[in-house]
Parts: sequence; C-alpha cells; structure tokens
Amino acid sequence: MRRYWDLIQRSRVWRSVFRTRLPIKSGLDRSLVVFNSLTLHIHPVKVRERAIRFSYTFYLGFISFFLFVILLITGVLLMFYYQPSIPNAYENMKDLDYVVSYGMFLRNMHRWAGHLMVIVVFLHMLRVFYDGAYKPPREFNWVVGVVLMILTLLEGYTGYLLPYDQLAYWAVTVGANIIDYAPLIGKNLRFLFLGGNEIGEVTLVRFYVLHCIALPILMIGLIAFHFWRIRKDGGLHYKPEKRSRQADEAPSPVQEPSTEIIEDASGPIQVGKRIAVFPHRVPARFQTQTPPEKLVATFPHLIIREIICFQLLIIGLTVVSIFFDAPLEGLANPYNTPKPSKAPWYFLGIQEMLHKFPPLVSGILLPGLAIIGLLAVPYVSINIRREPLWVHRRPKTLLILSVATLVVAGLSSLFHAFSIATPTLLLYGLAVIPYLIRSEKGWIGWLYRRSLADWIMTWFVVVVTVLTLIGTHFRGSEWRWVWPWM
Amino acid sequence: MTDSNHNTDIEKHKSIDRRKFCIIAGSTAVGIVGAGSIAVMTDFLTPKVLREIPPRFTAGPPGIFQLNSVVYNEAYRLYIVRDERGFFYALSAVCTHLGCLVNWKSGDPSDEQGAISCPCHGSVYTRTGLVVSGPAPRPLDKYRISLIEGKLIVDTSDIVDEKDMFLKI
Repeated sequence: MRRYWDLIQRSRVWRSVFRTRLPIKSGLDRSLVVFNSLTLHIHPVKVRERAIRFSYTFYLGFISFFLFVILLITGVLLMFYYQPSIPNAYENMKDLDYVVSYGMFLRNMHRWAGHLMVIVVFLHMLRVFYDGAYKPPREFNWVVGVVLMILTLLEGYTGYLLPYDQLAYWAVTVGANIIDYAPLIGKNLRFLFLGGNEIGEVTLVRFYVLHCIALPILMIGLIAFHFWRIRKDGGLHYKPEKRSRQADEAPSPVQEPSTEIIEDASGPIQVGKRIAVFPHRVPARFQTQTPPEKLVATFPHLIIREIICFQLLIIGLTVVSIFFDAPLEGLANPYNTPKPSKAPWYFLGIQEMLHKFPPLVSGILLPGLAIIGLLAVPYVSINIRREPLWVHRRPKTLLILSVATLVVAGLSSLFHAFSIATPTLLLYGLAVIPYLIRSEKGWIGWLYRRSLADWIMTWFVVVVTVLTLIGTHFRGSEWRWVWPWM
Repeated sequence: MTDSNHNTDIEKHKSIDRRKFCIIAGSTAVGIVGAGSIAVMTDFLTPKVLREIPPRFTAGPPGIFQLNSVVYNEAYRLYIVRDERGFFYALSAVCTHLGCLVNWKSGDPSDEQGAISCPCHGSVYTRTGLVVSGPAPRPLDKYRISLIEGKLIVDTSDIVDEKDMFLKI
C-alpha cells in the first residue's frame, strides 16, 4: 500500500499537480507549502504569533468568510430546486421541507448560516474597532469592510423574499416602503427595485438575481480585495507589547527595527525585514515603537487554527440545523397582513424607530448617518489618537459631553423613545465617573482609559442592540408592548 | 536651431497641446459612454408593461350596500363605506406609514374614533381615514367613487381630498 502511494507521488502526473514534496520536514518545506499553493498563498509564509491568537481576534473574520463559503455551497444546492415564480417558489419550499432528501436540512443550514453571518460580521467590525485595527494604513480596508457588511445585510434582505410565504412578503413590503420616504428619488427607486408598484413575480425574479448572482459576485470581488489589502497593509493586525505609561502619553516617532525574529526548527533567528512586502506609509505622528515580534510558520500554525475553526463552525451549524427548522408560514397573501408583521430581525431596530420617529428620520436619515459615521471612522483623528477622554481640558469636555447627551436624550424623550434616552443617560453616567473620582486603578481606572471613540461606539452598539431586542421580542400585534414570556 | 526656436514659440502660444487634447477628448468620451450605459441600464430595468389589475372597477348597484355598512374589497385593498346618511366613499386599506393592510375593528362604521388600526406599527385612523394616533404621516387615501349608469364605479388612480370623497345619493 505504502509503496503504491509513494509510486503515485513520484509519478510525473502527481508532480505536475502538486509541487510540494511530502513529507514536510524543514522550515523551507513549510514555506513552500504556502508559497506554491493558489489557495494558501493568500497567507504570508510567516505570521506574527500574537496576531493569530484566538483571544485577540476570536477568529471573527475567518468565521465570516467560512460562513460565506457555506452559504455559497448550500445556496447553489438549493438553487437546483428553486423557481422564482408564484406560486412555484412557495411550493418548492414545501418540497424542500417534505419531499427532497436533506432539503429541509440544507434550507435550515442556509438560513441559520445567513443569520449567523450578519451577527459575526457585526462582531468582527466591533472587534476591529475596539482594537483600533482601522488606523492608518488600514483606513480603506475598514471602508471595504463596512461596504461588505451592508452587502451582507442586502443579501439577507433579498433572500428573505425568496420562500414567498407570509413572513417574506410582509417583511419585504415594510422594508420596500421605507425606500419610499427617501427624498426626491424614493418613489422611482422603489419602482425600480420592485419592478412595479407592488411585490409580484417581477420582484421575485429581481431579488433572486440580486441574491444569487449580482450581490455574491460583488462580495467575492470585495472579499478578495479585503484579504489582499490586509497583506499590503502589513499583515494581520496585532497589538504590540503593552507600552509604558510615559510612552502612552507622548508617542514618539521611532523607526521600526529592520529585523524580526523568526522561529525556525533550529530556534529563533533574526532576519532582515523585506521592505517591499511591508511598505510603511504611516504618517510619523501615528507611528509608535514596536518591539520585534515573534513569527511562526503559517503552515501549520495558522492553517491548523483555520481548520479547527471551520470544523467547529460546521459541527455547530449542523447541530443547529438538525434541531431547529427554518420558519415557513402560509403562501404570501397580499390581501391579508399577519399580526404582527415584522421585517427581518436585523432591521427591527429600524422598525422600532419607525414606530417613534417620522419615517424620513428613522428610515432614511438615522441609518444613513450611521453608515456615513461608520465609513468615516478611520478618517477622524480622535479615532486614531484614541486618548483617554479626560486627559485634556476636563471642564470643557464635560460641558460638550453633557450638552450632547442632553440633546440626544431630550430629543428622543420628546418622541417617547425612552429606549434610546435611557441607555444614553446610563452611558453618560459611566463616562462621567472617572471625572468625579480620580483613580487609575481598578474598574474606575479602566473607565478612565476609555477614549471618546470607545464611548461613542459603545453608545451606538447599545442603542442598536436595545432597539433590535425590543423590536424582536417585546412587540406584538399593532406594535404594542408585550412581554416575551407571557 | 531655428527649428527649436520655432517649437518653443508654438508651445508658448498654445494653451492646449496634442496630449492634453487627447486626454480630455478620450475621458469625455468614456464619461459619456459610462453615463449613457447607466441611463440605458436603468431604462432596461424599468418595467414597461405592468401586469397589475386595472385601476377602475365596478362595485355594483348602490342598492346592494346597506346604510351604515362597510364592505372590504380584497382585490383592490379598499373599503367601500355607506354611512348613516346614505353617502358612499371608498377608503384605501393600505396604511400610509409602511404599506401594511389596516383592519376595521368591527363592521360598524359608526365608531368614529379608532375605527381603523394598522397591525404593523399601531397607527389608528377614524372611519374617514384621519390619523388619530401612531406613526402614520397622512390620512388614508380616498378614491373617487361615482355613479355611472346605475352602477358604482371606483377609480383607484384618482385620489381625492376630503371635500370630494363623498358620493351623495
């Protein structure tokens, strides 16, 4: 057996396909595995040990990508049984659920992976934000990431209509009518988007093409760019060794050392850094001193982590898809609105706001501002310096913060949006504690070290989460308040 | 020597050289073609034929509607109301907030306040479609209803205001 295996490996055909000779023995072999492979050479040959720790990134970027791959595979399989027409689309769902072998399982997996991807992409963005991984030279990659998040939401939304049941029809109706409120172009945009005045067969085909072809192609392109740009911006982001307090306060522009330590089979060695691979166009004022980083070989250290991550994800999704079925209500009926009718859960924060504010504000203005705010993150210098809030001009900072809080809380209270006012005031309280009690130890010290950027992002996340939770679990018929356990 | 002098003289006088001209002409052409393709694509994606139901329909002779009654027309998503005075009006059942279908709480139209409510975001309307509470930005649409050859005709493409909404018979 072993002999035949060796024979195959030594054959000209095998060697023409796989250029790496097994077994892998030396550090050079490990490098060549990555270097010679189309799929693996997305990675550098060596990576910083600190950057690939689970406790640093939680592998949220990997997981987002793996979910995208799972969605592509399950999606293509589902397409074999799907016709975008009425009522065939709905009947196909019934067939998938009750007739097609493993149809239900595939549909479940596609749906849960889709929901999970929305969550994971959002968490990935938060992780990148809190670690400051968007700072120069990575600004544009952050922008691409935000665009990818919006595309993920659009994928979810367009996919929501495809089963063409009551849930789908009315969720998409509510979403499409929000577009109506966009100034000037709203009416035409909605007509173009739906391919008519009402959701119908034309809309179904449009959403189908967007969901299965147009958006995935766009996403594949942007994901490739996102990955490529990580390499060009100096590899996976990592946090350097904790600097001393002094260095923290006055970052001095110091050139990076020209050598890094590489962990090889024979022990750590120093090698020259390849300037061509790590171009540094970081403005001097943002540069900070970094000690030499320990590097490990991508193969096997990073690859094994990715494989484990992927396998755990697949196992988790499989278990969930076996035990929880994707919902399917009755055939879409344009003449009967179910009670309550809700948008997909990731838009329920917007729907909750629609209940409080005029549609132009909650449907267009606030989401638009949120997106512009996210896109602008890496181009605003307070987000790059990230100094503790109370370092300079303490009374003036307090005044501005108090006025801003009062305006936000006051305006939202005016519209009875206490779900926005309450978290705003609570976070304001937390932010002011280090002003009142001067301490650099314990939890007050931790609060003291938070920057303005931290506070604003945390406020945004808390408000979005509260609104979404209320919209999902605390709203019943006619959008009245209900307790989920009653 | 004279040649080079001649050249520099030309360069001094002309404000645009061949290279610059080609760049401007080329990028303008690309810009026009680009804008044109966007316009053509938008036009391509705009449906020209809508297989939607015709806007006018016959609701039947007035005699079939009782005084003080509400009849829901499912296909056109509207209520045909005959009030206690015997007047007719046609009220859209599509909520002006986000397009959910509103519900008439009971078949009795005499309940003035809060006769109509929306299941999605809790807008409440009076029986003539005025907003009582909730996020709805404007009253429910009223369609022109007329009596032609003894039959009630509703035209959903003709939205009328308060003073034209009633058909007085």
